[in-house]
Amino acid sequence: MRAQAQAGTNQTFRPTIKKLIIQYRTVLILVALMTVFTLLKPVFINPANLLSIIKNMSYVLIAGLGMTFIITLGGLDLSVGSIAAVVGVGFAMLVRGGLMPVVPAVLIVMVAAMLLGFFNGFISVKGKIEPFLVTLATMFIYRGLALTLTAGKPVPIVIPYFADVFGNGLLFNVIPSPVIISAIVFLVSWFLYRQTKFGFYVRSIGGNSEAARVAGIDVSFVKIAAYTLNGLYAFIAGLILASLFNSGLPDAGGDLALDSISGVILGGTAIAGGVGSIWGTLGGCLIMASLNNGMSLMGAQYHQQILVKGLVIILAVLMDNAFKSKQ
Amino acid sequence: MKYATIPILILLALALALVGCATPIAAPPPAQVPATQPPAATTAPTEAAAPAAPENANQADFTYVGDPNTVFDLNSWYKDVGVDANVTIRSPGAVKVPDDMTTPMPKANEKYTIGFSVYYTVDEVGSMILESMKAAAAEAGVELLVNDANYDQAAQNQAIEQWILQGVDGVILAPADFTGVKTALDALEKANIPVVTLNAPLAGSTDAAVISDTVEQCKIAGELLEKALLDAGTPMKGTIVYQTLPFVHPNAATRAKGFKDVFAKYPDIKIVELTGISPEDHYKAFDGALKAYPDMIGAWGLYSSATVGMMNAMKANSKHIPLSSVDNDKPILKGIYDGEVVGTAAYSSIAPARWSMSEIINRLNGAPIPGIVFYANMAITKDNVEKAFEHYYPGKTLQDFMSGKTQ
Repeated sequence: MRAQAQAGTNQTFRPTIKKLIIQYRTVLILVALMTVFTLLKPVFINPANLLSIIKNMSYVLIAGLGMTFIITLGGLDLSVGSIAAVVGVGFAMLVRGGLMPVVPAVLIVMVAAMLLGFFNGFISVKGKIEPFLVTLATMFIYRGLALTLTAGKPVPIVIPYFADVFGNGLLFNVIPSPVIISAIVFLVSWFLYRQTKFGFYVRSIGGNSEAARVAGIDVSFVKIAAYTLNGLYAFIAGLILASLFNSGLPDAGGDLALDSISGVILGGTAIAGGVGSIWGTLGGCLIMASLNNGMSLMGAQYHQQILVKGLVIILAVLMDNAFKSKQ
Repeated sequence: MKYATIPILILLALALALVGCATPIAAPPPAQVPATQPPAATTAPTEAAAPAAPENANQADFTYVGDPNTVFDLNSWYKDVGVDANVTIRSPGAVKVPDDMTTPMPKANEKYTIGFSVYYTVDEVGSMILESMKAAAAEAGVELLVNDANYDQAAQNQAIEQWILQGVDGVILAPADFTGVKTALDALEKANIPVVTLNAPLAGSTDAAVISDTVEQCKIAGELLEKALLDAGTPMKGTIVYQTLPFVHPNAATRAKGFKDVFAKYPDIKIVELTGISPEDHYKAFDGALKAYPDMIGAWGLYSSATVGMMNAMKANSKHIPLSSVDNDKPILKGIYDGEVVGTAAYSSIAPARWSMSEIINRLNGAPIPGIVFYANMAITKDNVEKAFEHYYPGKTLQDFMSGKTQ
């Protein structure tokens, strides 16, 4: 009798462990990576280095949070890096030589970034074109705009407190301001994604667009709104990038789209849409940032870095598939 | 509602915290960078009891450009070619140095740890600079930490933050972005860590910069093309096409100036600029130019990708326009040997690494260093291309490269 009970416990215990491993795969990969890097380079776990990791991933995380809505919706946005570049150079040009005070300049570039996002959504929905194709085109258009506006030259930003608020400032001389900004954006995103009708609509449309339409959801409106919102996320990422470099760089954010998509996918958001996780995106971006930081500490060259990154993404996707088959 | 309350409260707290970030932080005292002594010959007499200041181990290789006690005005140098720069060089004097050090690499007084961040390693120049830097570090007796930034200034800034945490003694920094590197330079200055930049930044402050005189370099490239045209008896009128980057890069701007200066004396020559990044971009652009400019008398690749693209476009069109180049990539040297390229203005990838290491070691040893080190340029033509190949790629020959025995 006791043996039977023991066997029964083992049977339920093993699947539970397996389920937990698959469910918390992002956390496990992150912990494993951090452990390995700490063993190899103890400075990795230094709190200042951990803050450096979060600071340097902040703009990727913010772009990734916006991308989570888009990918959950079943879309993709390749133009976020180019929008971020337009934001940086646009802001730098508006405030250069005291042309305009900071606040109106920030508001103008924010509206501009949202309009660029709106354009992505509008063309995709009304033109019935795949978002991949639309944003591939606008990635070039917006980058071309940034380069044309500046004639290819970086535009320095000479407002000290701008860099303090968005880039290099420290709260209590410890916490970098991009860490605080990304924490705020994370909380807002989580709330929007999980607790609002908009988040529910996004997930519903990604899961089954036709069913969502039949259920009365204005699919076109939600899609356009999501791309407009993504423009807002790109605006925040662009401001951080510009202040980290004290200048509007027309070539800034070149890898932002792919880095943020990698973080979202690593975090378990399904590329086919319908299923996503804001927490997962945080975990995915942390994995990418820890990899970058740890391999930089180890002096790895670029070709070694991309090799390892690719392997980690494959591993995460395999675990993701295992998770889905269990479900 | 209960779900909403907690995040909103946290949000408010974080928003207040962010406002706190804008509050000025008590600035740390300015970095006390020891004033670099001018060269030994001009040093003021010191008190008898004071130990003699160490000499720069490579002094004998220096040919001073201008006043050794005056900081070289790099900002004006850039302004002349339309590039805005606001960089502070902390050490006085500018020197020209030979391609090969005739003096020994200085030995480190202590086992220093030096961080070296390189902009890119996935090309011939970047990978050779990295290997040469490793060899120079071993020769100087220092530990070298390496970061491959891959043109990502954020990655480079992060590496600098890591090295500050690790307490490195000095940094050699090849900027990924010439303006964005200011953040890294500011952090190093605040941490009082000496830094030598390989290539000059456009913003920020550095102890010294090791650079190529790119204006002179491309004057050489221009003169190679001019000579080829004159030797062939070509009338000096028509179009010369050159290819550069599609964005403003300080090295590209200074290179273009050197080249254009050579042809300024020929009023009937029109110089046309095309742009691209990859060899494919340059191939396509030049392919079009070969058809669009029937009066084209010459061409110039401002950097290696441009030349490689242009060489291949000429082959595809079965045309032979005199082409000069910059850089010493192996296909360009082969092109010179084969007569596809009239010549190139080049520098060794070994020299920048060795001179950067010399600067940082001398600086850490307390010896005076020149604020600007111009490493040597060299004109390569068919006459010296085989020798040049062996010089730039030690242990390899051009013949072996062309026969496929070596890569």
